[in-house]
Amino acid sequence: MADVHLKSVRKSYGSVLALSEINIQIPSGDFFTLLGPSGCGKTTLLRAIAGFHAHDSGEIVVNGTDIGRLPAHKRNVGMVFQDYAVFPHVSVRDNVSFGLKERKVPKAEITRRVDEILDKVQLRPFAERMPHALSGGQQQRVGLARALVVQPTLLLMDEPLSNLDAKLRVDLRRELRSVQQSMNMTTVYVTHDQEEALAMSDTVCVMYGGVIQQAAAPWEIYHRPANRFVAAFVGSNNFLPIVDGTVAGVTVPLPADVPAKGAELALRPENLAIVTGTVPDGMVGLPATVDQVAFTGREISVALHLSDGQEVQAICEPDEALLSLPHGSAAQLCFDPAKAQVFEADVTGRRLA
Amino acid sequence: MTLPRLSLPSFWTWIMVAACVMLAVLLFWPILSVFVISFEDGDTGQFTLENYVQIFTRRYYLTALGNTLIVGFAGMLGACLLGVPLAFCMSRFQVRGRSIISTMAVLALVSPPFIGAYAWIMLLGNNGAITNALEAIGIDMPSIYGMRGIILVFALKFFPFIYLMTENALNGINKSLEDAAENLGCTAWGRFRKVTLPLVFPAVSTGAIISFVLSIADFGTPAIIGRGVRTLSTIAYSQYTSEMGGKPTMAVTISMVMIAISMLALLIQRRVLAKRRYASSMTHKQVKAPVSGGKSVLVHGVTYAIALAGMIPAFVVIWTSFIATNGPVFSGGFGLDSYRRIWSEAPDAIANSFIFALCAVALIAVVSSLLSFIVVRRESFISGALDLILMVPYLVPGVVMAIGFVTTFNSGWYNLVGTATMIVLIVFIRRLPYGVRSTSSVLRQVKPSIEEAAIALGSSPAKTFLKVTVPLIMPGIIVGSLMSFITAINELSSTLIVYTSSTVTMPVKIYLSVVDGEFGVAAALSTVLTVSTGLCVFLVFRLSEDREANFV
Ligand SMILES: Nc1ncnc2c1ncn2[C@@H]1O[C@H](COP(=O)(O)OP(=O)(O)OP(=O)(O)O)[C@@H](O)[C@H]1O
Ligand SMILES: [Mg+2]
Repeated sequence: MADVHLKSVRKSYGSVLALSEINIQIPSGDFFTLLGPSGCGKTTLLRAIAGFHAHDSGEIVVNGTDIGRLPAHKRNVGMVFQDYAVFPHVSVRDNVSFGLKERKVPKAEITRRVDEILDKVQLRPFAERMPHALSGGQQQRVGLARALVVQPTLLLMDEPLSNLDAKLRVDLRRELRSVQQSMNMTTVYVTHDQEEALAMSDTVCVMYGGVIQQAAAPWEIYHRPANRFVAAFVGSNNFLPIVDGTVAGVTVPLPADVPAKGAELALRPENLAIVTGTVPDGMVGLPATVDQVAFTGREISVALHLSDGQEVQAICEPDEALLSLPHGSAAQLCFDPAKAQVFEADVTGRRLA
Repeated sequence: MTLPRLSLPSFWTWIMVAACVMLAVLLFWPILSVFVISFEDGDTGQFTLENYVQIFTRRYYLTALGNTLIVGFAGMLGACLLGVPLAFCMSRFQVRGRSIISTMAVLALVSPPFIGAYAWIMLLGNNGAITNALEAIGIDMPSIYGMRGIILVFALKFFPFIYLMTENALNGINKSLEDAAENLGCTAWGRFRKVTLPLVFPAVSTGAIISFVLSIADFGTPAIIGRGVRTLSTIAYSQYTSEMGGKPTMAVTISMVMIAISMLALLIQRRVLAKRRYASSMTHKQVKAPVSGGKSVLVHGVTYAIALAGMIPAFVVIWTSFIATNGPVFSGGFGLDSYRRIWSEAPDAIANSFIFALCAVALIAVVSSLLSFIVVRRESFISGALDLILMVPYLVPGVVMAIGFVTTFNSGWYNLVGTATMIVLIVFIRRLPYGVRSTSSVLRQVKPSIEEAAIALGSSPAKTFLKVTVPLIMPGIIVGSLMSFITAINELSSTLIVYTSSTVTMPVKIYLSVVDGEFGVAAALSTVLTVSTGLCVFLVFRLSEDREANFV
């Protein structure tokens, strides 16, 4: 249990700036997820916290002390690796007890604590096995147990589930989260799977180009993205340019401070409705042409283009009438202006409304 | 601003510093002192270019230089002529008993060349078995001594390098490429010449350069079978013994020329290879064609003939060692006289050989595992440089290394002349690259995250290395140790320069016995060497997956 405070952490590889001015505050017991596209610096940040490489400047404050210049083995930070990194030459039990032996814990207590944690990750029956006789999911549980058993101040995980198949990933995700909650362990978790991030975290921190875009609760991230990048990366979004208060030639009610040029209207696909008759009250309708309608079971996804040629994706409730719309038919794309958001047109453009 | 500290500070930094100091003292200092002395006047110690002028003007030296280049090139060519066809047959046809052939090739490779030289004398020398047999039916054999013998020995000794490397490359060629050439209307020969050969050229040339460098560095072969034909390594040795007491200026100047030739050869090869780097994607594996009838006889005849030719020396020495002797004379019939004689006359040579080799190997095992960690895991200028520096011992002939040590560690508290320590250190530094290469290739396959996991659990870098890294790279350490043991116990050229009566080793004793005409003793000792070497090869085969690759 520990609160973590990163103060202006910077790191570059030669001329490549991998992290610029990282400032984060992680309260004790938080499940904090770093989410971002490949190459945005997630691993770099995690490894700087673990001490596997030195950052150029800034402080890594854990429980009030800067651990940023301590060698990695003195930081008491637990780490779970993407490739499991289970010691292949010793048994599961010896893997898990490795850190306890390092800390000179008495033998009897080692046995007790190892048994306890193996129970928690449901590996007790496999204690005497060698790692090569375990499945990927079981190996990753060994990795988790090994990191947790020493009661680190902070747990770091770098895409721990990404080498597992989809079903196991969801199962282990739940398990991980419940173990973390039961131990109330401050955790920094790296993933580029947004669903995973939203499902598990107390706080999601979206990174891009070595810069933190937004750190907030999952609901907040999804519904009130701080900028255009977050809006585009988390969930999906249609961005339509706003020209003089109109979108595709239709006047849209907008807040007063939206500029005449250089802003975009963001519409989540699930907030769009498609009607062939009149536009419902309080909604704005954009004339569109249907390109493709695809039924995926839970929902229907519709591809359309507006009168000015822009392509738009919509996701609707399953509806047989909608599914039978022929290619090329005219429709109205409707949305509730209260649910629409406005961003500056830049990749990381500010949210205006 | 605080300077960024590395993640594994003190321990590996110390090891890195220690490694640099060690290489500076054991590798660069001796080479540097050889270099410096080559510019000194033998009597006055003044700076002079006279030594080099002499080498490039006097007949004696020029002949030796010429001879060295001739035997180097001819040996290399002979090795190619044997190795490439063998590789081609083995990779493209279903040859029966493949593992027998490759085992024989490896055995031929690891047995020391001077045993080859002396075995061929036993067969084709003035009083050789074949010479006498042919004489009995009235055929006069041309003499085996001289250039012809040296080239024969080198070709038969070094063809396995070329064979093993070329076979590997041939197996790696995407079959679709050859199929495509055939589809485009190429004949079988055209296909081989225009597609296959260019693709394996890098491998062939690498093997050829190794053969060349080893040929020109070899001392035992020209010394034993060369008779009047002197090469740079034999004259370096005789200059050194005649300059004993004074400054060995001419010996070291010759040494510098030898190093220069090796480096030049390597540079040329690098230049050639730089222009021919082929990306290859393996989608279509080679298949080995079945052979039958006359083709089968031809293929099997060629492969077995080549492989057996490489093994002849081993057969001859083992056979000879069991022939009864009376003093230096073979008295016909079989007996264990030769073994009795080495047991009474040369027990210390046998003991020394094993002790020195084992000490050197123990050092190599420890140092090479530390060094390979630096080379593989630490990304820094020094670790990159280390990788390159470890090529140097390959390039410095044994005679040169020994002269360097004698001229360096010869006074004060670091006087090692005549000690066993010096022999061990020379062998250590000369064979260190084998150990590093084998350990680092295993270490490259260990994921760094496994070590990081240990560090994150609170294990210090040194402890992590001992408890996690070392167990995981143990196979590499063992194979590397066996490889260095093989080369260490067979070391002749450097030991011959620095040995004293109390530090005689088996190869030295064999050499001296051959020179004295004590062929029985030489055969028995060679058998002991050959059997211990064979045992190590067997162990390497047992312990390692990619068996032959360890030897090239
Ligand atoms: N050792 C290195 N040397 C130079 N550049 C590096 C090094 N490691 C990472 N980088 C660069 O730093 C940036 C951040 O890399 P990092 O590994 O942190 O990304 P990531 O967010 O973890 O990506 P992924 O999701 O693909 O794992 C990338 O642009 C990468 O190319
Ligand atoms: Mg990463």
